Amino acid sequence: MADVQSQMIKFHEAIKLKRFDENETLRDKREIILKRLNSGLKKLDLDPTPKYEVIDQGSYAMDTGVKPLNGDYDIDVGISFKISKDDYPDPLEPKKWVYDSLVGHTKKVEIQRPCVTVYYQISGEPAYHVDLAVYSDKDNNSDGKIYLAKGKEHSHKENKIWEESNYPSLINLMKNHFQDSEDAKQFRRIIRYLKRWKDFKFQSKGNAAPIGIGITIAAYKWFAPNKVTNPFDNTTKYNDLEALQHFVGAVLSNFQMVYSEGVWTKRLEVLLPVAPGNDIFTKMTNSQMTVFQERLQSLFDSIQKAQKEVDPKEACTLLNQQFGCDFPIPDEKDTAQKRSPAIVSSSASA
Amino acid sequence: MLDHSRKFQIFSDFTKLDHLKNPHYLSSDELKKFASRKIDFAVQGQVLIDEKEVTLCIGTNHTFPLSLPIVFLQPADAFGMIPHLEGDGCLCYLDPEGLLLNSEEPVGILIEALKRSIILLQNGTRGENYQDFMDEFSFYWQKAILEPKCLLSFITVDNNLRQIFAYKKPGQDILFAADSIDIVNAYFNSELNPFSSYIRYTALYIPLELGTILTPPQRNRPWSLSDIQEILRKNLSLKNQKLLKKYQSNKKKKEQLLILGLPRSNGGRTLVGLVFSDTASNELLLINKSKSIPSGIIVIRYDSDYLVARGGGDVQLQKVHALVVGCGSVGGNIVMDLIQSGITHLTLIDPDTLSHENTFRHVLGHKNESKAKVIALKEEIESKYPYVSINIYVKHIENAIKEKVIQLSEFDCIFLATGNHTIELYLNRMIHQLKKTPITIFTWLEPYSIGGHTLLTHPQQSGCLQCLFTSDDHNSYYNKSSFAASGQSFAKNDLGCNGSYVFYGALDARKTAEQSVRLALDSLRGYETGNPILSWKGDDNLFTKEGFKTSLRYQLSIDTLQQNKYAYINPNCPVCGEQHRCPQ
Ligand SMILES: [Zn+2]
Repeated sequence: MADVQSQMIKFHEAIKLKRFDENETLRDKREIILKRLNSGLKKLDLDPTPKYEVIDQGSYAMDTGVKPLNGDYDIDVGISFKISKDDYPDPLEPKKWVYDSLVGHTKKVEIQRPCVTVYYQISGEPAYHVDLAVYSDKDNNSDGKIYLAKGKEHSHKENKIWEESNYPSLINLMKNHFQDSEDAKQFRRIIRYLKRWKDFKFQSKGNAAPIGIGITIAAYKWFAPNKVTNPFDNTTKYNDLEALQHFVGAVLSNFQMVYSEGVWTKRLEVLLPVAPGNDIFTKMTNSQMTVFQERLQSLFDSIQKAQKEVDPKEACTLLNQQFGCDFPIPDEKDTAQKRSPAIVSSSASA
Repeated sequence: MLDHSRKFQIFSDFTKLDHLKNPHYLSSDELKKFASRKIDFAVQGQVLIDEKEVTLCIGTNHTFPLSLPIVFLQPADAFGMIPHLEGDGCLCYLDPEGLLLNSEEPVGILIEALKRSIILLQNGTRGENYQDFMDEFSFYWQKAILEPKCLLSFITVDNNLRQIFAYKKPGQDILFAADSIDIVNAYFNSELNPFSSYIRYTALYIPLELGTILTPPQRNRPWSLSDIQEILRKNLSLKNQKLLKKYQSNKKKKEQLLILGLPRSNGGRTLVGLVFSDTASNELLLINKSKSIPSGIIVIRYDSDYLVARGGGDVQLQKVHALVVGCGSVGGNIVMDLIQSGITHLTLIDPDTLSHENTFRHVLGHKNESKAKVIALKEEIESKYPYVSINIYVKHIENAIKEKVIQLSEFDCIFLATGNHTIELYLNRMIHQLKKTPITIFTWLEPYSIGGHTLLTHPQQSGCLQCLFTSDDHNSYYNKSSFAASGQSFAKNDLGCNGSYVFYGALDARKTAEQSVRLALDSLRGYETGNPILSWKGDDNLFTKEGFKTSLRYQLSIDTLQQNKYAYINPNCPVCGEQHRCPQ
């Protein structure tokens, strides 16, 4: 059996989106928007100017981001206003503060149902977008809960709601999931592998693709670290491919027969472990779900085949077909020319 | 220890218990006859031994109750000669070695001493412990001889009756006996023969059959020729009787030496000597009433079986030929430990001389400064121990092999203690290609006292030095057993480039050497048939203070290290892996 751990790690390095503090461009974009929001809010002449707190959220904050294939990076920011939802029965009002502060900053700023989105383009192609989720802060609500402002300008009234949402605490939940920092690293690698697979195998438009947070939460529930500790020298070796195989297998086994859209069908349900606690994949249609399951099965089969391959080149070719061209295929020369260090220091004496 | 009134108190408590009938405290006048035993307090009375009433006297000296009481049979010859009874009636009812006395219970000590004395006398009168005569024969023998004379014996003590040689200076008593003068020279590690002026004449070694029980002679009842004739008639194997006939001659000699081999219950033999004057050896087999009395001789064993520690089991460690490569701090200790363990045939290889910087680390100290290490070691060993055979080469091992001055396959056991794993890996490969296979011990120290390692390898078997350096990860090359994290350099440069040495203590070297020799002995005796690595772990205070990092392996507990002593073995090892082994 070929050992492809080094290729897995190389793949991870290639797809990993570094966190804000490490990624200058994204950090700059975020800072510019937040500055603009700050000055924009003042210009709105609200009395008083609403106070707010900026919350990092999304895959950057969880350190599970992957580089987008279409070049459209997204940045998630939470704007938590120090307001009570009861004082603002229309959740669109604070959303419009954000919209009004930022509109005109780029060619396109839109109010979406869960957030306000600012689009950036480079030579006409989408390059970045920043999603600003608008919250009513927990300290200002009598029940001590956080609420997300949901709804578009022309939505029906029943779609304009304050929805209880504890997304911010999700970050901590993920961060503290593993005591062992190396286990946590494998956890994040596995999420990134599958997110890249998703980006490579599915259309990004609409709901065809399983959303990234769904994969993250599924991993939170079903991923188990896979490693071997050598009893002799006490060193630990992680096996990402095996971990991925077990995880994908676990996801597949969680597809269950349910009655949906008037038929019995197999669906995957992944509930958010924090409020609002909804099923993350609920928006996927039955047929989208079926495609998801089929492709997941094909991934699972490829992984198993790759595990049985003796030649690392063959194994990586199989994986490359699932994960796309960022998955490296070792050159025969590479393997042949690989040499151990020739002169090293020794601690032995006699 | 105890004042007179306290002693009196103890003895009166004892006598109240009626172990002795008609107890009588000895007066200071009566005590005088025990002066040589330094008894200052004693009581005597009667006890029944198999329906015979005898008097026992129990006394103490001034060290009581830190020492045993002394018990006498009165009169001393009440039962004739029985084991553990001395001429003055003193009973050796217990061997004082290995005892713990509860000095809080002095009365209990007196009771126990008396009880054991009674049991001893009962066993003696019933003849149940006559084997004890054989086990302590030399003690009785010495007591029985009027004018004690000694001879040193170098003969091989076995069950074969044979002719041996006695040696003496002209006009003097016999000095020693041996199968040949070479053995005596081997004892003195002398290559010349300093005994060429000695007179040699033939003598007989006569081993008695296992199970032989004899009553020792006594001062007033020495063995006569007819006693000895009877002993030989009754206690020789058929084979040895025939051999004795073969060696008999009619020629009367002025002096005829016999050495009797008397079997002990533990399998060993006690030697005693007898010198006849004017007797022909054929007379030994006659039945006559000759009252001629030979003189007894005390024989002191100097044969190597007796002196050199023996391996036990099936292996005779004396036959093991060991090679020690590298005679520095660890190797020097290995050499000394091997000798003391009974491995006396050694070949030592080391190109270096002892330098004054080595003084406190090397087993030889500075006595032999600027002498080649192997020469100095050989001299040291030969001056200290008999029966050793040390070959030495002031060379690098790779040159010694290239020049064919040594053949690795000639050895039973090889120790590699060079501290140079480049050379040792090369030798490891070479040893694993041998058809005839020595066991090999690789051993080395870690810096700053964090530990030391011993790896045993039986060739043609999985597990070797190369395994430690072989991993699936081609990006690294390091020793998996190391307690120091890889990639650190430890040459301490305070002596300049040429003198750079690695810091360690003499104690670490000794500990590592001991671990290595123990493992080799375990393997030679067949207790360890696998290829383990043993690692001892020291404190890392100094090591970390110097800014170095320990390895993950160092964090393992001593138990875990021990449990995983075979876990280093790499089935794909290019040296010992199955597919690389040469066909048997
Ligand atoms: Zn090996």
